[in-house]
Amino acid sequence: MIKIYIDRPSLSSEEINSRRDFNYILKQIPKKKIWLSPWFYGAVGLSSVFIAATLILLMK
Amino acid sequence: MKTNAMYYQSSFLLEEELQIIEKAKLNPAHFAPLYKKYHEAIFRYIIKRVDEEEAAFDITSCVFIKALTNIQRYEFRGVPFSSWLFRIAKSELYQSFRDNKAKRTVNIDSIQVAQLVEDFTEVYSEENKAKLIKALPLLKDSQMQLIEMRFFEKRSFREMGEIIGLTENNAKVKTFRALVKLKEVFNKLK
Repeated sequence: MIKIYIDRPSLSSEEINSRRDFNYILKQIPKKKIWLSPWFYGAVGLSSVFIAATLILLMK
Repeated sequence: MKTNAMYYQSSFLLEEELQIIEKAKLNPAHFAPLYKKYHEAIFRYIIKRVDEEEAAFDITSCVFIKALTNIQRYEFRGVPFSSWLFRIAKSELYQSFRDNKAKRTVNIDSIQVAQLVEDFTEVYSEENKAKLIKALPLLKDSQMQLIEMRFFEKRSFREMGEIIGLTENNAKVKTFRALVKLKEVFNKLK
């Protein structure tokens, strides 16, 4: 059952704004996993090709 | 009916918000101006629906954490960024109700009750006021939400639609039906 409040005192803007904390919000954001980024796959892929090519050239 | 003007913004302000969002997608620290701008509005939306202040502050924080976590998925649709935040707030609120972290409440003031009573009976009396207060919790939550946003928070149908995921017309039709239902319940009560 929904509770109904009539004329409930509301908080002032100052009280609400005093609880604003953007640093807390930033800290709570989950860190991005590097291996989920397309840049990671691109860099790993390119490095692999480069290493493979170098090894082939050295072995010739 | 006069509606809340905050929802309507000039194209310049919308563009300014969009630029901040694009910057925040690259670096979340750039989100600060939007947090500052909308924190109070989101808190007030939540506190009107929960019984405890602390729970309302916690849910408000969750809204902004979720918004920042998912900022990459945000797509501009020509409406203020606040509608996206209110949608997140609505989903966080219902999650808190499901997890029993907060209790659903409705906060209204006497003037709003008087206006609704006058819509129904044209005669305002303490007896009719008490009847309306008894009738409100008997509505379904979806109907209550519409009455709450339209008559107690003075939101436009466009904004309501954006928040609950309906078209402006659909929000109008559903609100009308909710009002008819409320009137029906009101008239049945003795």
